Amino acid sequence: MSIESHLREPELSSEDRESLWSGVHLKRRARRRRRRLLRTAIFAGSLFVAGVGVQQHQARMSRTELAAPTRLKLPDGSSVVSQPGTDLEVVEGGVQRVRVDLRAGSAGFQVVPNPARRFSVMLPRHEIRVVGTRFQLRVDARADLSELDVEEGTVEVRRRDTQALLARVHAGEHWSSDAPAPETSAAPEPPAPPSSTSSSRASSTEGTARAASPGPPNPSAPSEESQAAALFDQATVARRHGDFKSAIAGYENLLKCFPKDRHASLAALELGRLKRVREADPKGAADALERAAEDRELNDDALAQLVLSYDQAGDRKRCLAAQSRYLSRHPEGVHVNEVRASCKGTKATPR
Amino acid sequence: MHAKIIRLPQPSPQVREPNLSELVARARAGEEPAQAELFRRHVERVYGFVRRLMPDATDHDDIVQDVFVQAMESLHRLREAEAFSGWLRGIAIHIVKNRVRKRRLLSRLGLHRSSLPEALAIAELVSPSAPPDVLVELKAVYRTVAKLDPNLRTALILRRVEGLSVAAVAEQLGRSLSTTKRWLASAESQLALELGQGRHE
Repeated sequence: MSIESHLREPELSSEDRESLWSGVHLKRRARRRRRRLLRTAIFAGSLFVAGVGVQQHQARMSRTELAAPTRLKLPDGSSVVSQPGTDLEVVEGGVQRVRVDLRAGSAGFQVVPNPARRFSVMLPRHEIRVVGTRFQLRVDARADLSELDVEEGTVEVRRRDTQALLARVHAGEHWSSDAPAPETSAAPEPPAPPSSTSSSRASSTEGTARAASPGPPNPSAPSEESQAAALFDQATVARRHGDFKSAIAGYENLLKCFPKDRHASLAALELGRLKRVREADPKGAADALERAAEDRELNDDALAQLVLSYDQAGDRKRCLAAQSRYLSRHPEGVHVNEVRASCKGTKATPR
Repeated sequence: MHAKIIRLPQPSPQVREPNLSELVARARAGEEPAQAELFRRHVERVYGFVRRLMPDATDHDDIVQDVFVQAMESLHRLREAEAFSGWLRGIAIHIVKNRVRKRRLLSRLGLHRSSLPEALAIAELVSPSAPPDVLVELKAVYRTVAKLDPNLRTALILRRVEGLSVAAVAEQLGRSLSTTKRWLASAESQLALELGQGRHE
């Protein structure tokens, strides 16, 4: 009995092929862009080190003026679905801050919860500030009208110029820029710095669309686990986009704030690998990798990375010790050849 | 970011179809029509192969795209144009092995989200006219590989599902014949157990 003679090959329609080819094309273009970004980042970094100084680097910019609804995944793990004809630009994307400019059209936002990051959507005259929620925005540039519908959580609406808080809009509520401004509109506030605790539900909601009353704790406040998961996702997305600095900051942040979370050991492994390969910091990598090696499931990968780190640092004694640990625990491990080839006494290059 | 579909360039109306060596040479030189033609000729086979290597995955499209992205970017490493098809399979094996490994790791850490039900995906791999014992064996193979290390898993699928010879499995995996035989022996013994249990159920 042979299985292969009964196999059924998939029949791909021409649309399937077009769609797959599109994916290949876009992925290749994204790779080329990442490589360019990386080269730019290295060049910018070298200028910075040389003391020339580099002005604020906007990590990623993308602008969509598309004919079809489009889903855009942001570097922090959040997503935006923009409707046809929408003029939307991701001006800033990173672990600490995301800024999207919506000039015209309509878009839905799904923002991953993270109190340590500031997520703003800039409208022509207003700023929408979010911690973690879902909402829809429409901008009619001709009528000078902006509208907001909040589906989950709460978002703040501020004046774009003075940063004055105009309204806090909760789930199920609608806000429109043509509504009369509240009498008790708040005095201009300085831009809120990114804080480590959620402050979006503060009770001082002067000028809000709906008066907030002291009540029970916010049930939609993100749990520790979801915050850790969001941090992990954000850092991973940053890593995949080639934004290694943000990725390292994200993983470090996760390990610092949520050391016992289930994502922590994997974050430690990724951090170690990034520090070794991308930052050429094998000593810094070793600390994170020792942490990752405590996890039985990651021991194989973490110990292998540790061997490579010590090899890269030229620390033969520690390299041999880590190599021996690896070979005794994982004699048939997936990295066994690489580990065996290490610790020869020469300084290895990042692999 | 663009949402529009990138059209697959149509083959030029030539007197004769270019042969594989010509296509590879032109694709290597960066000619997009040649790359598209290579894609068009091989995408179904690669898609089927990827589905058989990882039937319970939900992202076959993504894997197939990654195979062609990697292939197009490393065409300069292909020594013999005639080996293009096998070389593509090697890339697919490498990508799938990494995904399987990563998925297991995430699953052990409790971070993996479940995918399609196994039976549904496996039944789609064979033709509806296949005799019942073929489906029984196929299901046993996939129940077995679900418990195996990614190397053993791939070796067993190549041998039992793809029907490759042991030497061809070794070549495809880039391992020695003796290592491949050892892996296959270990995987086959587990498969025998699984088939035995299946008969007793």
